[in-house]
Amino acid sequence: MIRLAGLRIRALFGFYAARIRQHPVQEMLAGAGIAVGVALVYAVMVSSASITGSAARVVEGVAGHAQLQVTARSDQGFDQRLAAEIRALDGVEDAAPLLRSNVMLVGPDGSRSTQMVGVSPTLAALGGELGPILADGDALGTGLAVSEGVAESLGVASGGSVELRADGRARMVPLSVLSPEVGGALAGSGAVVTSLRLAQRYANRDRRVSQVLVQTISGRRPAVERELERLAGGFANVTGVDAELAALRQATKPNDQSTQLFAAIGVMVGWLISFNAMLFTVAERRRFVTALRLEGASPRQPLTILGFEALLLGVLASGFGLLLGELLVRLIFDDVPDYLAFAFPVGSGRDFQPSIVVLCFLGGVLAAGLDAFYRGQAESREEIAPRTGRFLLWTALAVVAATTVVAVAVPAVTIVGGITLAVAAMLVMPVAFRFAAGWLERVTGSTSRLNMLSVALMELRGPTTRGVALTAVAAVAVYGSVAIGGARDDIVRGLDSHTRQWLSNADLWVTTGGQDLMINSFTAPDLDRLRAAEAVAAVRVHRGGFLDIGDRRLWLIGRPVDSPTMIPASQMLDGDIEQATARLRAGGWATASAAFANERGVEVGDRLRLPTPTGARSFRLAATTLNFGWIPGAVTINNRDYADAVGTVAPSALEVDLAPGTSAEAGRQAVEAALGPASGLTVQTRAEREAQYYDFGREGIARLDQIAALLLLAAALAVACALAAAAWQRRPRLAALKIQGATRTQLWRAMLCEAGVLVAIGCTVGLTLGVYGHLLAGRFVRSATGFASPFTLQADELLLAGGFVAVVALAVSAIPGWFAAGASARASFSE
Amino acid sequence: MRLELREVVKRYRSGTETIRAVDRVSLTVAPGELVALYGPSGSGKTTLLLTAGAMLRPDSGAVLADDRVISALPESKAAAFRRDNIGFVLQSFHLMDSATIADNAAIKLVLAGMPPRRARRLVRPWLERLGLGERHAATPARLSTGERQRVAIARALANDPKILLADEPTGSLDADRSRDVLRLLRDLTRERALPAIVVTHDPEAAEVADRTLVLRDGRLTDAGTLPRPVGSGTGP
Ligand SMILES: Nc1ncnc2c1ncn2[C@@H]1O[C@H](COP(=O)(O)OP(=O)(O)O)[C@@H](O)[C@H]1O
Ligand SMILES: [Mg+2]
Repeated sequence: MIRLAGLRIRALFGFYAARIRQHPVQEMLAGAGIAVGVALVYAVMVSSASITGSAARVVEGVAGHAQLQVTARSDQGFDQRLAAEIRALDGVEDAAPLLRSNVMLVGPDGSRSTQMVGVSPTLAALGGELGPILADGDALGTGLAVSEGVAESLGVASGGSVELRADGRARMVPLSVLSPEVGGALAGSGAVVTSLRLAQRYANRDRRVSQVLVQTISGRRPAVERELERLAGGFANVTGVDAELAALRQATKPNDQSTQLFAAIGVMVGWLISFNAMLFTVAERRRFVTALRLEGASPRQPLTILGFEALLLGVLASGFGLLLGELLVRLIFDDVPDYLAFAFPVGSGRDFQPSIVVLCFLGGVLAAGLDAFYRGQAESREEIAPRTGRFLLWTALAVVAATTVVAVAVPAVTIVGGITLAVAAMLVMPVAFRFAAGWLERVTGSTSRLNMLSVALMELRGPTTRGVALTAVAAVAVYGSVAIGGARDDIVRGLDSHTRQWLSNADLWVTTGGQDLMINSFTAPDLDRLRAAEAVAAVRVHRGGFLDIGDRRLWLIGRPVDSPTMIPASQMLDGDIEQATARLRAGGWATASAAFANERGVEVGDRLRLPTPTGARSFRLAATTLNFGWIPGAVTINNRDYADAVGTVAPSALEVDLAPGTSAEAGRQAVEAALGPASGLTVQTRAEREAQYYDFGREGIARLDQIAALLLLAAALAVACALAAAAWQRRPRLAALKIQGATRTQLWRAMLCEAGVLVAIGCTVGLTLGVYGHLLAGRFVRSATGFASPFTLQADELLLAGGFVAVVALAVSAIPGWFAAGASARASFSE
Repeated sequence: MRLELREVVKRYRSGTETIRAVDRVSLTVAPGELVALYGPSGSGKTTLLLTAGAMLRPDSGAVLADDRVISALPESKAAAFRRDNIGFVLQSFHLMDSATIADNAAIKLVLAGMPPRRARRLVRPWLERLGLGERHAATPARLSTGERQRVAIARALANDPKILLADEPTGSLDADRSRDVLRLLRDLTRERALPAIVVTHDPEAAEVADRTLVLRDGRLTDAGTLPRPVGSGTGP
């Protein structure tokens, strides 16, 4: 039989069962707190791992055994003969060309922007997941092969046809549905597959490809890489096949970091919740241990019992937390971020990572253990001495000061600062408590109108561990949501104002449609005919695309020389905007995101070399800017320089000015008519495009909103539960007060006052530190993302966060409070 | 004030069983009279006291204070009556842990609507008299059981009660303190002409009491003779 410290396991289970029977609510609350923390961390980790994970699967599924790739520097691609030349190289086992183009599919039930991948039979030799699709020759030979999910969202059955818009043209193409086994990872990404030849026809890229995957003979990789550089280095990028993943990570990192910070704060709230619940049973447990000792238990036995209880609680709660987290991932966090989908091969596929599960699980058990440790240490109803309180206050101030210094010096460690500030919020609590209670007492000391508040204050004057832990839940949750929410709002406001400026250039925008940065080029329609339309005053050609440099997928913008503005003023950093505008228009000059320019060691006036499809080009830096809302960064040149460098006159957007007096709607109709029915282009009014950008900008940070809301809700409910438990536990004393002549309503009002004061203290401390956290987080976000996001305080948002916690906590705890206040006289005889 | 119980019956129902905790008790306590009530544990002493103090409603019979029936008052009126007229010393004191001793003692006055600062001032003499004057700003957590009991007594007396009801007020005091407390209760009773019922196991109480009664199975048995203390005396 297994024994622990001389105790049978069954007996240990028995003790725990008895405990649950005795304090079901407290145990549940303790478990719930741990579960909330585990769930948040799990959900956040899984969903950010899934984005890169699914992309990795797509890359692997396509590339198979290939180690190297040659990729085009624009969506115009390069000559497909390069593939044959590469295959002929010494040391190359196999090479397969691909054509990837962003397209739009329109079906009866919906439309979607996606990537069309054209593959040649040679790809099968690389051994990726696409092999089976290629074996199934008919599927690719006749049209587009899509996954079931895509077909369903479009409302097209296998064998039907769908409108494909690519290169500015629309056509109907046959569609076949891949079976899930065949589609593999690619299906999860939402990409559509077809034969290289068809893809070239659909995308109007005759004999062109955008990528060649290269498998080398083992040991020959360096030599092959040199050869590839020699062959293609002038116009294309030679990299490892996973270069795209590094770029994706670079683009998602700031977002991941802020999400992680939020999750960390969520963990603290979760732990505080469980800690709170545990505090309610400290005294009872203490008596239990003493009783055991008196009955002759060895010193280790009570510890074993408490430890075992903690272990069980931790295991149950963590298990539940994992389920909850999984639910969160599926219900809320599962959307594929469109803001990445047009630039990277991200998919909706899930990555099951045992390490995340194990980590979260152990974390939960550890939290329970921490609780148990405390349970053996301190008396929760004991007042925290003023001296201790002052010491904690000084510690808190030191923490805030240290956080400030470190965050200002090294913005990258602000994440840690987010957590230390939360700790500071807890540390200031005893003094805040004493101060608030003392102040209120002075205010109410000589009036008889706030009697029940006075009664509440009598109980509140001495801050106890329990009271402090309770207010800390509210404080940390409010802190987190204000700090992160504020930083998030700054970003959104910054993006919105950028969008307005960016789009204010024209009345109408003609693009390939979908949510993008206007980086898909198309064969220009008849511009003269368009200009001749009565409603149209001017048409300008905008060019743009991505350019991979190092880990950055830069947005290269070719702004029309005849554009009213060349640089949105809100994006300007170094340099004079008028001069920079003139220089951009003149040509040979560029502006670049500060982060990118710094990385390259380039300042205003210096030469910036860019690898382009026509070889390395150098521009002089006219100004540094923020990143135009694209985290990896942006470089602006004028549209003529762009055409030169990229080697194409194809626009990626048309800016249309309308004749005076023409309404946007009428203008749109006129432009659509001029483009003709076969056009696959989308015409949008400025307002429509703005609305689309707003959604797009918010989508990237939507998860922050979700976590903020969850955090506030969890905290409000936890505070309510803790208040309710406190009220319930106090029944004997309430009954005693009744015998002294207090009415039920009086007792209830006193409890509400007490709860109100507690929550108000928590929320105030949370709000104060939250605003400060917002300031620091804002700085961090600006430096990490390069977005224009000026610090703005929004009083209504602050009140909303604080008020929400306060109102929910008070309202929910009022009900059990009323029942507790109804305690019968008899209750005063039991402890 | 005069306290009178007429044929008071109080039953408890637990499950199918009915217990007559107080069984047709009639008792009149004159102003200034101190009655010591003895009885084994579970005999109904606390129930009798709570009924006499308008905290529990009798199933039949009536409780009168100066000929006013207080056993049938609606709950809010009864609460006000307790607050303003009754000094109740509880068996387990149930003090507010975080509140100071002065606050604990002043609670009834504050409940009655007195500004807290004034209430605290008013209870100071009581605390002095009970030997707690020095410690008025401490919290109960720091006090010994005996001191806590005295806080509970101060709380009962703070509102200048017209009726005094005490449930084992000397239960956790040593002999000296115990004698002091009993004397204090007796003096107060005389001074202010209060009717008082003191539930006790302390043989000393019989000496200060004007009358001694014994409760057995909810019935008042003959007064006058003092039985040997029975049981540990801490009730259920
Ligand atoms: N709320 C209740 N429900 C059921 N039985 C009760 C209740 N309160 C007291 N009793 C019973 O009534 C009897 C008298 O109790 P009590 O007045 O506390 O006695 P004493 O104070 O003399 O010890 C006891 O048998 C006790 O078990
Ligand atoms: Mg009793």
